[in-house]
Amino acid sequence: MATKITVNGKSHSTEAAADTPLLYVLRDDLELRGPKFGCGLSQCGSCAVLVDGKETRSCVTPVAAVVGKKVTTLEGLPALYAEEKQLGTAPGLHPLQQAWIDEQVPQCGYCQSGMIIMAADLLSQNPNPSDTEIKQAMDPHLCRCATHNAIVRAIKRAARAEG
Amino acid sequence: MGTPEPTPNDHQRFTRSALLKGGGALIVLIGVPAAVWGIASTTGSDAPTTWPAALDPSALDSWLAIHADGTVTAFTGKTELGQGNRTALSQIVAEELDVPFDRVQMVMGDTATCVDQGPTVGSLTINLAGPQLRQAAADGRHALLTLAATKLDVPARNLTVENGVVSDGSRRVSYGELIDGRLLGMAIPVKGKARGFGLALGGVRPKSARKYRIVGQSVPRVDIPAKVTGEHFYIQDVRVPGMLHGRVIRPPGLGSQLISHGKPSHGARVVRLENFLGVVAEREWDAIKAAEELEVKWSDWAGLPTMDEVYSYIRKTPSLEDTVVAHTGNAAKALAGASRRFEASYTTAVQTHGSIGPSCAVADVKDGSATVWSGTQGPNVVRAALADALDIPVDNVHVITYEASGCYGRNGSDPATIDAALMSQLTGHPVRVQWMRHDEHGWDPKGPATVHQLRGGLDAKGEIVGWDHEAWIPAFFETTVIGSVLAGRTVRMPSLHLWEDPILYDIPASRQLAHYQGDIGSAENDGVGLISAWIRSPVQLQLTFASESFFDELAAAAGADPVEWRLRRLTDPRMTAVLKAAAEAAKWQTRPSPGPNARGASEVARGRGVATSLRGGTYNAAVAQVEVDRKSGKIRVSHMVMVQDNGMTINPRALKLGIEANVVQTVSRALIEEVTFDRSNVTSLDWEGYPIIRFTDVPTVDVISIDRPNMRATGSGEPSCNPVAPAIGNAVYDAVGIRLRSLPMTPVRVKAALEERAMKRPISHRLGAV
Repeated sequence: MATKITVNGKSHSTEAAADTPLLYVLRDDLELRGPKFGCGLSQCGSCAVLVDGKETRSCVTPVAAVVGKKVTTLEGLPALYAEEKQLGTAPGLHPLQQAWIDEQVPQCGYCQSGMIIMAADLLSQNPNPSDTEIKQAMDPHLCRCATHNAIVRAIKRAARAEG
Repeated sequence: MGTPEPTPNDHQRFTRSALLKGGGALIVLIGVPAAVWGIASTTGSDAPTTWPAALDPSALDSWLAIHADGTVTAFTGKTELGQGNRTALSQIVAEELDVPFDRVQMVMGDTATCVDQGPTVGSLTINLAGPQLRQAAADGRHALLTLAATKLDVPARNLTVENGVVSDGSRRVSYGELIDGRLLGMAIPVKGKARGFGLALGGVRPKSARKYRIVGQSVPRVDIPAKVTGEHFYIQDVRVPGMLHGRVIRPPGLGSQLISHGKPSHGARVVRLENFLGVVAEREWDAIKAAEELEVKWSDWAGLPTMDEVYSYIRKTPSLEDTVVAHTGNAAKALAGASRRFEASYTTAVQTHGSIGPSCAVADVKDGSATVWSGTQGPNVVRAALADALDIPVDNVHVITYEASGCYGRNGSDPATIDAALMSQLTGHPVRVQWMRHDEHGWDPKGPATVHQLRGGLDAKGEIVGWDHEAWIPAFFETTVIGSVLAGRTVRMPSLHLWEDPILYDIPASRQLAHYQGDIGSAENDGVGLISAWIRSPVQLQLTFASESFFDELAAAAGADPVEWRLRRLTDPRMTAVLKAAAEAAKWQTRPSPGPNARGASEVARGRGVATSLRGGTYNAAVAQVEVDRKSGKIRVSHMVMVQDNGMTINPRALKLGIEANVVQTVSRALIEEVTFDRSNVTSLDWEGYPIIRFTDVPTVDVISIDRPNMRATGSGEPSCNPVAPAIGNAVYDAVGIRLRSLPMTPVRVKAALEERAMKRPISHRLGAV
């Protein structure tokens, strides 16, 4: 039976079994490359997406659990930003994505989709976080290249740009 | 449902034989957008493009394609591993060709179109492949000037080039007009080997560094925009038509034999060749569930030493080879005659690469040919391994490299590539294999355990008279590929064993002796043990931990300040400059260690430590500031200073960010990382079993780069990791007066050492040392 979900503002229908983790629907059916498979155990955060604005690990969230909710991946952040700020058209990049480029954050970049999603959740709740608040909020996300300091700088930069 | 739509990178499914059938000189690919190479489109040109087929390094067209619109494609056998090689190599090519940076694109790591410049290892890309590409680009510029001289009928020496436009002062002609869709067709003299690290090209003299306008600039990295929008193609994103999803099912013990298996669930198919077992399914989740649920009977195997006995096991196992790496004078005699003699054992634990994305590959094997998409560091190395494992001629194997999750050494990419190829050959379908987290943590080749015996002697005045460093380290003449072993088609890939650099200090008599060992447990399992491959920096992180910590022990014994102790014995002015810069940046207070409060009662003790390293021509010095919690034993690194001199800097900002990340990663490895195993196999199979550093434990890092624009650029990906662990260990000694001789420096080890001292017993070797 088809499951209907809303991803990045668009409605999609998937034949995936209801227990299929959202991640595989996003990657294999919707061909989105932002969310990544990292552990399948909700330990690393590379699969993170926003579900109704909250950071959620798509590798352990059954697709059936997001029916009727709004899923936003890395790709959908500019449109989400436009909606929040009531802009007519979406910018090319969300301020966090721009800050990530300005700070030249990624090394391999594999974890960064999840990092940016987590940062978007953080800034929506706390638009001007301190270093300590940023580190505490980001702590559940792993980066093996160890770009943590650059990530903190980028989040502060994005917060400043919005402030 | 069903087969995913082909993605734009599908165009790359041309085979080497098809390529060669294209006339042996060129192949035309229609409508290849620039973005498919993983970089932002710089031209918007979808016009037919001419690609060189020849991989002969003496053909200029093997290196460069100048397009009619003035853009340039440069080809390199190297791959991007996340530290910015693509950008830095593009800067080098743009600089020599005198074209704007954004007109250069790189094709990386495609065995059909890129010269084999050796695998992307050992921080040797900028160091060795950089000069190769620089020379090719300089020769390319010369070829274009020759064309311009003919066209304008003036001597080439009267011509200048700016932004890809040649001028004789009055008339102008662009590279695009000059090439007019043709190949460059020029030969370059090959002076060294025809492939690999030793490949050396000749021809015209490259540009003087004084004239550089692109090299040395902090050009933004070209791969970053797509990495923050989700457009970047990782190897994990490659999909091809008709593809099945595969998952491997590994044995519980390294030497377990497959006895039987049940029927697969979820419509999956079992793929088996001897002990090589997996499942394939059309949908990825079906493959995952089927692999989880398949009932499999394996035989028991328990040939590994326990973790408690691993270091004595390593010492006791007969070496494959013993080599004196370096020596000065007669160390044994000098030590025998010393007034005070010191000896200590150091050990380092097994560690994992820990890539955030488990390794992945896609393979299409049919009719005796293989097209393979891989995240490998060594496309030509894995190409040869594929040919062996599939038993097909190497000419029939085409490896196309896509960037993978960061690897920092040989992670699971190569073995996952062999897995995908075996599954494709066995099923007759293209197969995508992604390892699960437990596969990556369990089966990526491991950074190996090492053991060190250090001896040092001081004379009556406190001068060092003798030094001896004996190390039991893996041989790494080759790395075993697990899938091929299980399938009964054992392939071993050539590798490196690199204890190269002599000790840094002027000591009258010294020796460095390597005992090269097989993998742990390999003697018990037909040569296949706990498969190992270096994590950055090959063997030197371990060697430097031992030597720079023990050097500090001698400084403390002599009552000397650790920085002065080193400066007095350094003879290389570049090393001296690096160490002085580190001490200055850290506001180093000159005094011996341990510090005045090392035996105090405060809950938190603070200390600072220093260490240096020289790796492949790159100089590093680190100062660590630590806080030791006497109650919990936890070490918190609050700040690191890292100074690096790698000669010429290609991209200062990318360099500094790479160093900062490498330092933080190594703090993690120094403090908490240890693979656990039982007698059968690895037991740390996820991020709870093998934690890595998190945001709240990350130190601030002050990176200082000493640029020497007139010197050869040496490597940077690895070297800065080397002094991190000993700087931390030396800082702990400064803080609390205990010497940590085992990596990682966990709270358990710190507490044990503090408690032992409190009981006034000598620190025994219970802490993991032998």
